[in-house]
Amino acid sequence: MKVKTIFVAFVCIGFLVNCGGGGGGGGGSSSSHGVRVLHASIDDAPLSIVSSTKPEELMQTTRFADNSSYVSVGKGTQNISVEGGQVGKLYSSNFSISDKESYSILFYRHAHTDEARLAVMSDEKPDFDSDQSAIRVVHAVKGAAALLGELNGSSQRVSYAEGGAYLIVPSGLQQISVRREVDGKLLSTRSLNLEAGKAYTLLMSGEVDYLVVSTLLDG
Amino acid sequence: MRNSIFFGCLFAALLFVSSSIQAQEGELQNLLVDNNGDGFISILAFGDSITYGIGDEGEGGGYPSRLELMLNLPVDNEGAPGEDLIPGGMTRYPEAVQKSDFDISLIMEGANDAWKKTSGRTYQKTLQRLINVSVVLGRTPVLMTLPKPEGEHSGVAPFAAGFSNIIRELGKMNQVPVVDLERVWKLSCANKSDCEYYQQPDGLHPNGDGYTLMAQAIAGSLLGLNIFEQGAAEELEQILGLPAGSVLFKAEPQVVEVGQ
Repeated sequence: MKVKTIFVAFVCIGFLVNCGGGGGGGGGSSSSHGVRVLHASIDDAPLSIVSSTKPEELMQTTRFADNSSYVSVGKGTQNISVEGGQVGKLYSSNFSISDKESYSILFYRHAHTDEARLAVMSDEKPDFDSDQSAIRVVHAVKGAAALLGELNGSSQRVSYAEGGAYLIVPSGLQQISVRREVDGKLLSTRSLNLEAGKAYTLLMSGEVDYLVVSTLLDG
Repeated sequence: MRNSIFFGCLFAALLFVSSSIQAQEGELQNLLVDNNGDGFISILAFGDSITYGIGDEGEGGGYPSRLELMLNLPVDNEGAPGEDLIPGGMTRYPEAVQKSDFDISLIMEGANDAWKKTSGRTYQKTLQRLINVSVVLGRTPVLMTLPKPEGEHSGVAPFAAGFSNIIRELGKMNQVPVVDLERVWKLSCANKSDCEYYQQPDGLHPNGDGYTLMAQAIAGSLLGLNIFEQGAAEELEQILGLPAGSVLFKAEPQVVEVGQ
């Protein structure tokens, strides 16, 4: 019988800082609002990111499964372009952003054609109490059409290249499990200490039966 | 215990020397860093039969064993004879990396992909994957170019050269170090068509001296030396306490400027 081993890497903020593994680097200063790029393609090199509102300025550079932070890009209609490595240059669809809004741009490869793509996701948080936290799953794991995120007794379905809605949960230690929907295969389980009043994104990337990476990001 | 103290002191000395080198060389860095903070520095040597040390069974262990003795640091030989990068090395890599708390991962794959005439795009994409896996798992990937095959393997030389160019390009894109073994071979072989560092007529796997040449070039690069610069071989001999003239790699010839 052939035994397939699944490797799951838990990439959290502390790990990245300690190990020199990442943290979005280069370009503009980080902000609590704005735009960030989530590099979720295991087969791609680091990318340079430019906003159409500040085309002369390198907004951010990011590598696979980085813990990238928001960069202020000003308000109005714009798009984001990524450049570098095997991608050439790739533009997101246009979207409109105001002062207090945030967006995540997911960089991923199409599940079947392997074409490089960008998906724009609003990071608008729901209202929640000061003793609660919010968390959502963003799915970019190749080999899974949809994921199920299980947290605090509730379950959330997330399609490939999409982000789920934020789930509101009590703050503190929470166990989150992520499974492939089709067969319930466990891809990741980890304990997270969620701070009160904060929102998080759990970026799931990599490939089923190869390496699944779970990156916890603020916001 | 005594061993631990000995290795600790030796390593502190190596770090001190290499830090000085780093300052002189600017871009070059001492790569012998305890990335995971476990108090030890250990190295993974990942690759095919060249990493395994085919033809070196009698003396022992190819370049990884020699490197381990030179640096007094554990080097795990994860060479798999006959393995190609696609899909063999790619599939095996995450498990090999996670077997232990390696700080540095030396990656040399491609000779068998050259036989299969794997496209450059596929090779690039897959090697990029190994780089990403290394970084996300907190390891420093170090790529190695492929010495030009000759003799019985001369037919794959164009593919190996193409892969070496891709390896250099990936090094730049990802800002990860590259040990340019193709250039080491080019500069160090006295006989350009029948290199004395290869088993002959094989022309692909190094002989004992060839594995020593590889280990020395890798050791010098890990310590932050520009191994192609005049005086680098002598500097490595000093750092490692080797006899004068024992380091085999050769520098780029000096350019002599005459007139104004």
